[in-house]
Amino acid sequence: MILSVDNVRKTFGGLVAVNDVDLEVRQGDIHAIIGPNGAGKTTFFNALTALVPPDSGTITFRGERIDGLKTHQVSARGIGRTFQNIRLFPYLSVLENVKVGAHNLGRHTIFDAILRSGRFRREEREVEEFALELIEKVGLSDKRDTYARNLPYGEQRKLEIARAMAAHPTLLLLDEPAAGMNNTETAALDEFIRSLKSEGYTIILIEHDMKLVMSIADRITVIDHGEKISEGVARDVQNDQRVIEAYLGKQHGGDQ
Amino acid sequence: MNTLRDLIRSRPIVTAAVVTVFLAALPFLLGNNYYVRVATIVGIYVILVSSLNIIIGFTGMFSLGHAAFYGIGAYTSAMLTTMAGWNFWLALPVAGIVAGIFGTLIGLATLRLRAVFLAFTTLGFGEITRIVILNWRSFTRGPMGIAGVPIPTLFGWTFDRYGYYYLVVVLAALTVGIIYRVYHSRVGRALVAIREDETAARSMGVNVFGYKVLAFTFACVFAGIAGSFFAHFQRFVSADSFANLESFAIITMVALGGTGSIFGPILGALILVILPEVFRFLAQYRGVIYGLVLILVIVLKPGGLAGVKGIFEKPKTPKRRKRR
Amino acid sequence: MFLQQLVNGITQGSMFALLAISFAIVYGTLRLVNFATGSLYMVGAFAGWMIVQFVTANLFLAILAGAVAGFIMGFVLERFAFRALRGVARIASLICTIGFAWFINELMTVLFGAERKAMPPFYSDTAFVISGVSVSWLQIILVAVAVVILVLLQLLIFRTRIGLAIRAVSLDFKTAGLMGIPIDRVISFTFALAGAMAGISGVLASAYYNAVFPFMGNIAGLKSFSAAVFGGLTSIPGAILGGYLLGLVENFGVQVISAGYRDIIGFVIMVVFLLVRPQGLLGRKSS
Repeated sequence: MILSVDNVRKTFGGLVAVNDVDLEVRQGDIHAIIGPNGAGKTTFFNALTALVPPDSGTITFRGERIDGLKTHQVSARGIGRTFQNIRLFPYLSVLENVKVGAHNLGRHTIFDAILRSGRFRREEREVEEFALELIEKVGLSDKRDTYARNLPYGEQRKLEIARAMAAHPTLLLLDEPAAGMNNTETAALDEFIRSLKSEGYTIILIEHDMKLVMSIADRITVIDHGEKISEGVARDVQNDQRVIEAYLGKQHGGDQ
Repeated sequence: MNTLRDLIRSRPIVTAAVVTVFLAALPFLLGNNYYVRVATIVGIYVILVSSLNIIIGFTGMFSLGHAAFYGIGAYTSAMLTTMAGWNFWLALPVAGIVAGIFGTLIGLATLRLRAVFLAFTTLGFGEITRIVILNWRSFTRGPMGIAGVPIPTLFGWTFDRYGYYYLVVVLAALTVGIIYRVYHSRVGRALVAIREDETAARSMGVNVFGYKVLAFTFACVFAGIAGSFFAHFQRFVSADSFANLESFAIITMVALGGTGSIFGPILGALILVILPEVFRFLAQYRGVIYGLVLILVIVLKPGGLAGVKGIFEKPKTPKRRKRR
Repeated sequence: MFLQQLVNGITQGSMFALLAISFAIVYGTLRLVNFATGSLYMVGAFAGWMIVQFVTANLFLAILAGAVAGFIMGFVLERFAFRALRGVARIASLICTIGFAWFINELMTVLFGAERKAMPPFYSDTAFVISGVSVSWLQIILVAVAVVILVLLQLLIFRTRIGLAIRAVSLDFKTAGLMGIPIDRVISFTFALAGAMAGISGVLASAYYNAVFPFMGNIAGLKSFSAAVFGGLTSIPGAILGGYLLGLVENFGVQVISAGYRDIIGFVIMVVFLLVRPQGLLGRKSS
């Protein structure tokens, strides 16, 4: 298990957003988390990355407890993420966005930067090369100097993934990467996520596009009202009565 | 503007040479001692404005008390040289360090709180600094100020007007150069990322609080150095020179020149120092004009004249395509 | 001695409370710290002074003039400046309020000169003496006026339609708009109301200290903002409490440390307090 989540709980005032959820993610899997809107999926991601520290429960990543760490420390342990509502750095270029993602690959300090030391030059060269590589991988090479805010929506999603990958994470948390994409784009995304898996990344994916989820996920966890209601491979989950009920209720639920 | 920028980029050495020759020749071109003095003051403000730009323009924090750190540097240097008999060249960096330490303390205390509290704490710190200087007579000589701050000497040569001018040019060039180098590094990228989106920066592994304190400290060091120079240039320091109005003047220069760029602060300092000198009849309206400039820039041209566009813009949430 | 400080503290606390409310109601509705609040206080004081100087030496008329001047200034500022800034980043609107503070102060300096103008003494006779402490009629009037205004404000906010609208807008700007509340008008009114509070506070202060000058609002504004923060920045009762506490702390504080440091006592306490309890004394905790 690369990630073991045990009894994680998060409440906001009286609202229980994540209710004692357990999750085991195997190394190299694509693990999807699905559930109706407002089920607590994004809050779960935020709890994993300490953006909203969980109230209780433990999180173990590669054998090390990471609950209680700060967000930037979680990132440094090798967990990269994207955001449901895209949070790029709008007035940084594509290249610079990815370079910020690589922040912790560098070790040079403000003094190295001022003196343009050997370490600074070496690291900047490496980061530049690596960032360009990632940009090429997501197909944004011709836009490397464009401000992130000027990219079309689909490309912003791609850039977010490239930025998340820049820190050499072993685990990638993708929050609705296909949201707002058309069929062709989603198909390309399907392929891209598979290629990440073949490169050895472990991926946790929150997604509403069931076709995509059923196609690529090795395991699926279903969350509703903050609770895990089902887990397993695609077929099991699809036939689970509780899942069907949760989704039939979806039409009546509001957007979060 | 763009073609000029391209020209500078494509011929950096030529540009540097031209600028150096121009700055070296400037006092002779100006001829008049008074003009050299104005040019020197521009240099002081270039340091102050560039350093405040690290806080406001790069990191998106909001300090209203930059003049306090300027004042702390000035007093440190003035006291070390007049009371403890230190050499100017030693007092200059120490003034920067002392201002930096105060910056660290303020930063540690407030940078975890909402942005408005940093604004307010720095504003209050400006006021505190002034009041403490006025009241702690045994230490600072209170409202009398400190007179007779020594003229710097270099290898036996005592500074004249030209000496001050060249020194401030060197200091300002160092400041701008250092800020440029930091800006184009992992550190600078982290600062701008914090400005653009704190949560995202955090998720990318940036220690947001740590970098905020670093940026704040870094900026205050330069303010302290500017203060030290000012003390020895003016040869007299008193609390009045470092009141909150001075902080506002520096903010106005940042806003006018353009937040978040390297060149903007230089432009802002140039315009707002020279303008009142050219239009002497406007002297009594200096404050009114500064206030007006500040308002107009924010309302009409939030990026300033040469700044990165959107710092004063509301962060845009990307439009979401409708889900199928 | 104790009683004397208590009386002085309550008197000054009344002025701080009014000014702190001015900060709190603007911050409550727009989440904007209006750094020009101190300038509205000063403008109010000047309006009162002009009535006294050129029309009639009536304190109550001066207070009314201060209220009207503050009301109008608050309205004008909102209508012609802050409304345009509502869409921009908060940092920009903050800087802009500083621009206004500065602009107004300097303009008044150009118009009236920087030096202090004397406000004649009003009701300086002793009203009564208890255990050796004399309380002047002026002090009683100042506190009474402040209390009346505070009560009226509470009634306005909790008993009237416009008050209901203000509360709705401060809870949720957007939803209030969707519910058909004319948010622009409500915000204009809130600013004007905040201006009036500041203006009244300014006149009371000018009568108490017998002086008006263009930069009188700077320190008063800073201190009252401390009081507002102390009370949670969005809460009116909090601002009132903060104002009176500040008045008392200042007056007792100068007994312990030198009077020269009077103006920074409240501020230092505020910063320490913020570190311990960022949401203020009565403020809502926001996550």
